[in-house]
Amino acid sequence: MSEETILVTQQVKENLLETCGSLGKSFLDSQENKRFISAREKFREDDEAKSILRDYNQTAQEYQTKAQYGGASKEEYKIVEEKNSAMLKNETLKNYFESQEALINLCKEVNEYISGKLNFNFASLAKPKSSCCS
Amino acid sequence: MDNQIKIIADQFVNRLFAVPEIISYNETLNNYENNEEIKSLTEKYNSLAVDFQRKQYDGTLTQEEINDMRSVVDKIRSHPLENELQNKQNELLRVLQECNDEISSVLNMDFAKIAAPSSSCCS
Repeated sequence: MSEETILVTQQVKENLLETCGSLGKSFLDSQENKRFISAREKFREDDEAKSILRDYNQTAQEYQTKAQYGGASKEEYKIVEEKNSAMLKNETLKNYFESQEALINLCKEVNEYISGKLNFNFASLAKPKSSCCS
Repeated sequence: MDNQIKIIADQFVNRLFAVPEIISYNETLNNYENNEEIKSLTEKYNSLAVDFQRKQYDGTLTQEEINDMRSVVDKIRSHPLENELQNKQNELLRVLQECNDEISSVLNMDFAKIAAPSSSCCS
């Protein structure tokens, strides 16, 4: 490979990585990300919301552990459902979850757009390799 | 998706298509897909696979059928174009992962992990 080809190849890669940085920044500047950051800040400052989420997570985790070993009852499942409903009635948590979902959907949408043009799924190939079902 | 993201996404795709590893991968894939020997082996594999799975499930698979299937798989695996395609795919993956690292470092979260479609286990 000639020196000129090496330099051109380096430039092509640098241009690509520069665009990757711009793509990342365009996500940061998006309305979806701004809404998410704001909702996350509100959540971090809201002790009641944090307590409701902690309580739900604990109940759900206990239920899952029991369910895994076949020891969960219908009543326990009902409690998890009730706590889930209560959690979603909390405005701070509702906004936090919805804004998080909107940001995730934006990432998925951009990936689909890119992948459609590339003819392969960019994110599926680029994501870190993980063990099964992780 | 707003217009600014779309413009940058288009630029990303165009610049990715200019990278030697992508060009090389697409050329190899094209050669692979148009190679008569590979096409014939793939067709044979596909036709054997239908009966193979059914017979495996029924428990009626013979040793001869297992050998036939193994022979086709071995021929595909040992084909020079198969190895070449595998190598080019690995190079392609390295570039894509590098791109994801760059996007993710700005975002402070793993873009590809979030954006990838959910798949069934081990798919």
